[in-house]
Amino acid sequence: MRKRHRSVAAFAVSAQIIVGILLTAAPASAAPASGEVTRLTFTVPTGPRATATVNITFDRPISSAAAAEIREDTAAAPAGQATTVEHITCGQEIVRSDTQGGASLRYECYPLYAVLNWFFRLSPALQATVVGTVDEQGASWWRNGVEQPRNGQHLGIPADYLMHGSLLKVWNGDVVDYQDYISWQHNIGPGGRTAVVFAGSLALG
Amino acid sequence: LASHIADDLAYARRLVEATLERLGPAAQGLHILDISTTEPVTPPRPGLQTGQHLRITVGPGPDLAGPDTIGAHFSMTVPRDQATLATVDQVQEHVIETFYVAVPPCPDHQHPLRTAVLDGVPSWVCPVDVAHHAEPILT
Repeated sequence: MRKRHRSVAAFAVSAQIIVGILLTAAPASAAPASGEVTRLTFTVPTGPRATATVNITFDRPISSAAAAEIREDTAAAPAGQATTVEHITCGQEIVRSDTQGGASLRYECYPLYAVLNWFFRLSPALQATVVGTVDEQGASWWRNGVEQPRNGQHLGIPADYLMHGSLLKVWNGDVVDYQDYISWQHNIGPGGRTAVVFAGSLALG
Repeated sequence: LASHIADDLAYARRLVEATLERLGPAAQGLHILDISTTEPVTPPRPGLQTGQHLRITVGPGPDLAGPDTIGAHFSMTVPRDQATLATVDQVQEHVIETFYVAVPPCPDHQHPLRTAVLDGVPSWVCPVDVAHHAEPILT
């Protein structure tokens, strides 16, 4: 059996991709002592008119100083960008990146229909936090506000896996919203689980 | 289970079984490992209408995870012909990408057949010339 192997250079995250970080964990085994926390919640700007809320919980309590350091590191990195609808025209490809990963969206038009092909890969920095493998829920997408058949789910894939899918059929004039959810066990501090959501909106044509 | 879900479950199982069989020897080691309803997702912005889906997990087993395994989705809230093509496309793409084979083969051509709706019937068709070859996905 030949295994799928992809070694494509890092892709870029689309400008309108919202990336929220959610580091969750198994229920804490011990109540936090004074000066310790098990959860961080804060909001970071993600564009001129948008923000992203970051929730971090840990398997075990960590010191307030360590929490502040993690918060500072996380907030310093752009978690995402504005949720404005961006236009894309036939044959156009949007390729961008941020600290969470890279993505590409290509709009292909044919005589009777069109298709949006997308790719996403976690950034090397996030790949380095992966313990074991990564789970991808499968992209959900909406055409003019109505949810369409979801893309395939991939569980237990390598951290450097090139996630991808196709949104079809679409037409010029459509507004397409998309969202995928990627999670993994992380090695930050006492460990826990990380979830990255990427989503956005495109106006076609 | 609501009767429409039970009906969709049975249809989705039959559809994926037929697809795996049509994909030939490359897919011989793949089986339906699970079929279940999915939990609705929280849409990325207000005003989006959430659908209902089935997830058909296909792989060598027994684990439900791994690079050779896919959770193909079947939508219960779009027209059935559209849902059919989307599910078959996911299984076909998974087999092509996992085993590097062009299946199902288009007769006398080097490319695989693709899915399309012909006269209301979800079908395998030649991607270059429908008149060259077309067959229903489910017989």
